[in-house]
Amino acid sequence: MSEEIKTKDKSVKVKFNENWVNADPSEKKVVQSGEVVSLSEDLFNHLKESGINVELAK
Amino acid sequence: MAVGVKAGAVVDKGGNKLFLYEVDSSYAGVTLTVGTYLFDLGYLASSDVAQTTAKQDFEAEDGDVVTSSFTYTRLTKGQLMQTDADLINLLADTVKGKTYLEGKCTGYINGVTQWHYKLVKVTPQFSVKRPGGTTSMEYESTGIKINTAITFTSTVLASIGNLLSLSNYPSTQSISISTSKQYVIAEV
Repeated sequence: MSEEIKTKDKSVKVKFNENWVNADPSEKKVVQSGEVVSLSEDLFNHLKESGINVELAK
Repeated sequence: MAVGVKAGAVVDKGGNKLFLYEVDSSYAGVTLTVGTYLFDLGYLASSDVAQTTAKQDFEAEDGDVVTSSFTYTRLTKGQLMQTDADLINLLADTVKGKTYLEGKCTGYINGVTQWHYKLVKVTPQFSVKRPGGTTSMEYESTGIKINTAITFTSTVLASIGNLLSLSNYPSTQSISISTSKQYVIAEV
């Protein structure tokens, strides 16, 4: 298996505890607090580091 | 990084880059089209990116302050050096009723280039003076209060950087504006 495939970003299911908007015009997403959505692990980590109230869904 | 003594963070000049990117009513970016929804405002003679705070103290009847309340205003002000008709029409008319992601470079600080982002309403105005034209075009924007966290991914930021040929721009990072801060600073 190539390194590229091994390091490919994986998706995680996350629960938002506040409203959130993905403002990317090609992937626009409006999420209400309490919703569970799938995100890339990189984006989830970025949101946590940015102080957004989001957690891994149980 | 922690707060501390940093000689490299003592900076007088720098920046000279300000862009606007229109967002829709849900604060998502619209189509990335330079000159229509994405604008480089050109050369800046000076600028000021600030959060100012109005304080109200609440005193008990014995005269001691029991608590304080704060009201925050986030402004960007600047003097644009250009006075071309495209820029005048944008600032005097196009911006009316619109909301923008504002990106402002504040220069090279402690080894990194700093960019400030917030969602703003731009004050529709222009002034073309002769002489004095290089400092007469006053730019002013006011940060709006957002009730939802907003993320612009590295994909869209990279596109902005490419379309506007921005240098020293954090195009590989995503940025998120939280409801508590209402702004975000990125460094590259």
